This record gives sequence, C-alpha cells and structure tokens, in this order.
Amino acid sequence: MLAGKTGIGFRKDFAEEFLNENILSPNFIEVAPENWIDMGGYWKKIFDKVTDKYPLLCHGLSLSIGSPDELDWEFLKKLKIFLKQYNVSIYSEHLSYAKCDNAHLYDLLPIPFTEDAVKHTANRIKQVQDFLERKIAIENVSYYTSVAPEMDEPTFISAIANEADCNLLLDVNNIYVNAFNHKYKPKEFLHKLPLERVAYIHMAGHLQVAEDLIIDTHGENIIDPVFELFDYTLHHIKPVPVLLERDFNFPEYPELQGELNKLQGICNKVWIPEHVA
Amino acid sequence: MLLKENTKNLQSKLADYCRTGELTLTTEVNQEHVKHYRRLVYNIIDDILESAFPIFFEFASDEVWDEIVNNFFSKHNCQTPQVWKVPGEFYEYACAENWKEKYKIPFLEDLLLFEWIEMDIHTMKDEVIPPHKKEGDWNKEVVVLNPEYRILSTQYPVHTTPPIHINEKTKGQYFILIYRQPESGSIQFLDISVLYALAIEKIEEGKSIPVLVDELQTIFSFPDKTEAQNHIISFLKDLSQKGFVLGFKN
Repeated sequence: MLAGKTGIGFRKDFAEEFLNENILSPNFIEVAPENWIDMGGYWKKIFDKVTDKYPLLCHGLSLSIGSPDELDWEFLKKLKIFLKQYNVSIYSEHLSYAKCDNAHLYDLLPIPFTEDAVKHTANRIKQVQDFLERKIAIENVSYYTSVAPEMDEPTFISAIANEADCNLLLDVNNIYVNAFNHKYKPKEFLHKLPLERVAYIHMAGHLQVAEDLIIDTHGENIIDPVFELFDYTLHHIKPVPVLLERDFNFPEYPELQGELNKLQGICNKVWIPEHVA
Repeated sequence: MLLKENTKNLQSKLADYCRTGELTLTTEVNQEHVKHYRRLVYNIIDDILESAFPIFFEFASDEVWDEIVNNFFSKHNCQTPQVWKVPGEFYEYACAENWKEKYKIPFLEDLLLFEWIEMDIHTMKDEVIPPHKKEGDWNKEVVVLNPEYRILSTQYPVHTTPPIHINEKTKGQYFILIYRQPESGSIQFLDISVLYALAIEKIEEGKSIPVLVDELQTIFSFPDKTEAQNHIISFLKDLSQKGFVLGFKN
C-alpha cells in the first residue's frame, strides 16, 4: 500500500503543528520505537492521534544488531508488542552497533567488516526475525572510518543480508556520504548490493565538515547529487516506501513539503508506467 | 559466540573511546575521522542531560558540568535502550558516587531528583484510572486520587528557591507533590506540609478522611480533630479543582 509513496520522520519538534495545521502531507510517518515505547501522558496522546491519522513505519536505534553483547530480549518483547499495537508494516534497524561491554552508547558505531562479524550479525538478525515473526530491514549506515576491514562494504552488507535472508533499507544519502568519505563510486556500489531485497528507502541531507569528510546529519536539505542518485536508484528497484529524514534545523514547512513533493515526483516519474500516469 | 576475540576487541576499543575519549586503536581506524564518533556520542549524552536537568545545568560551572558528564558516561554502563530514560540512571549514579559531598553541593541529590521526577512523571506510562464517581461525602467516603504522581521528601527547597539562594539556613524538611494533569498531561508541583503528605499516603491505603485523621492524631495530637479534618478536606477540595483528586470510590 505504501510502495512508491513518501513519508516523513515524525518529530516532537513539529508534532503539534503537524497534527493541527496540516503543515505537511506525507503518506506515512516513521518513528524510532525507542522514543515512544513506555511513553505516556501528553506525548502518548499526541502519538495516538498521529498514528490514527497516518500509517506508521518504525526505524530502530538501540537493537545494536552488530554488538558483541547479548540481544536485549526484554526490549525485543516490548518492541514486538509496540509493532503489533500500531500495526507497523516495516521495522528496520541500522547495520551497526550501539551497545558494547554492557553499556549503551545511543549512536551508531561501524561494525568491522570481517567474516566473523558477518556470521555473528546475520545470526542475530535471524534470531530477531524469528522472535518478531517478520523480516526486518537493515540499513546501510554512514561511517566515518572503517575498522580493520577484511572486505569492502558492499560485500559485507550483501553477505549479511543474504545469510540472514532479511530486507534492506537503502539509505541513498548514506551511499553518497560513504562514497565521498571512502572514495568509491556510488553507482558501482549500488549495483553490488542485493537490490531485490530493498524494502524501504531513506533520503536525507548531510554536512561536509572537512575537505575529506561528510557527516550524515539529517539536518540539511537534500542536495541535487543525492536526488540524482535517488532517481538512478529507483530505476533499479521495485517500488518501495521512501522516507524523508529531517531531525533538526528544520526549514520552513513549505520547504520541507517541497522536498517531499520532489521525492514523490521522482517516484511517480520512475515507478508509475507512462500509460497509467 | 560467532564473533572472534579480535573483532570483539576492536568493537570494545571503539566503544570505549566514544565513552572516555581515550583512543587505543591505532592503524585500525582513521585517526582524524574517528574523533567524530567521540564528539557525536558525547553530544547525545550531554544534550539529554542538559535538557533533563536545566536548573542544575545553569547552576553548575562549565568545568563541573563537563567533569560530571564525562565521569558518568565513562564510568557508568548505561542500561536503558531508551535514551530519554538515561537521566534516571544519572541521578542514581550521582547518589551512588556521593557527588553532593565531592562537589560540596549539599542539595545536589534533591535538585537532581526533583528535576528527574518532573520529567519521569511527564513521560511515565499511563496508569489505569481507578473507578470513581465525581460526587460524594468528604466526611464519610474514600477519596480517589490521580495515580500519576509522586511525593518527594527533600532537605532543601529545590522546588521553590533558586540554587544560588539555597544554603544551610534553608535546610529543613520539604514535601513536594508532583502530578500529571489527566487532560493536558502537563506537570504540576505543589509544596505541601507533612500533614498533607501523610494524609495522601493514608488515602492511598484506602482510608476515609475521618479514619486517617484518627490515625494521624497519634502523630500530630490535634487540639481539635474536626478542625484538622476540615483543613484536610479543604486541601483536597482544592486539589480536586487542580486534577489531583478525581472523586470518590464507587
């Protein structure tokens, strides 16, 4: 139902206006379940209203799928209930780790691209999928340094996705960011991934902080080369939902809606056959 | 475990660097770019604590603030997968480490608790509202309270007095009722007397006002029990206007 449609990351920063003033018109919204599980009071009321109005997709932050630590089964139990309660059709997570040595870090650290990490991470994805009784989508994360790699990034991602038999959340901006930071060609990278597994796309802005480094901030507008890469990507995958991620430094809402419209326009152009459009 | 020790050690060293700022990885990572991980991770913790403890953040010097945030994040293993619950762990860590002595801020624990509980009650899971009726006899029936509240007992008036004016002269025994208004979800707090704090505790045990006055008589030796009862009723009537007293037991 959401294939080929665009949505936006729902943020508390614009929650009230979003609900009351129709400032944005996405086809769906996305949240990090960690930010809403166990939440009550004012924010629960807002969340229930917004999820009554829009379909919800979830993008996790703390599962720490590549961690050396044990999976957090208590958290997974809560997550399973939450996904069911809000009828979430896609749950995705980052191909990274956010917990180590029994301590959460609340950010996404790069997993070393090693053979054993492939087996370990794929095994954990399988465990999570079995427990949640659904396929999850793993996201190609942006990273600012590799850590003693034994293989390249697309080989690492592909091996995990194939071994775990999971879906991919393709973050097109991350491909651009990583291609810049690690000096590869984004289109070549794209074709090394198992594109038939793509179930969801993320688009976002980024910030160049040094001559040789871009940080994936989600705090800027999407730049034209990323739109172009997005357009190119769509020609090689089946229609899937597309999310605009904007976490802070919000522009005027018409500008944000403009980005959504532009994404939707590209989706329509590429994915809707001419005789139907 | 499918992960080899070497991979595990690499992950552990990177995570440790993010927590402490001490980098033990050498050729395994880009030495310049890796710094951004420490910066980004640290900023997340710093921001969440700053927004949870705005009064303490304003009061503490930059040096003290940075020291305690660093100390907390590098030494404490954050357990919650939900970052917005970290301030609760921070409060507990501050108590365990006796920071009020270390930093010579006697009201530190009271202030952190007050700020954390305000946030905790604002976000806590919705409690089941007990069945109740709106009208009833204050002198006979059992009052039903809004379950989304806490009463804090503090030594310092952190809820009424700016930290800069809190000192040994203001030390005493304070009771703070903090609750969430059912309709708006906003947080209210009230300075209440020990009598009212104990009365609320007795109501929570299911006692009617005359019964709780009888029980509190042994503590307070009221010269006039009827007057005490009227005071408590007046207090509760006011709180029924403010969304803390919901009504009477069915």
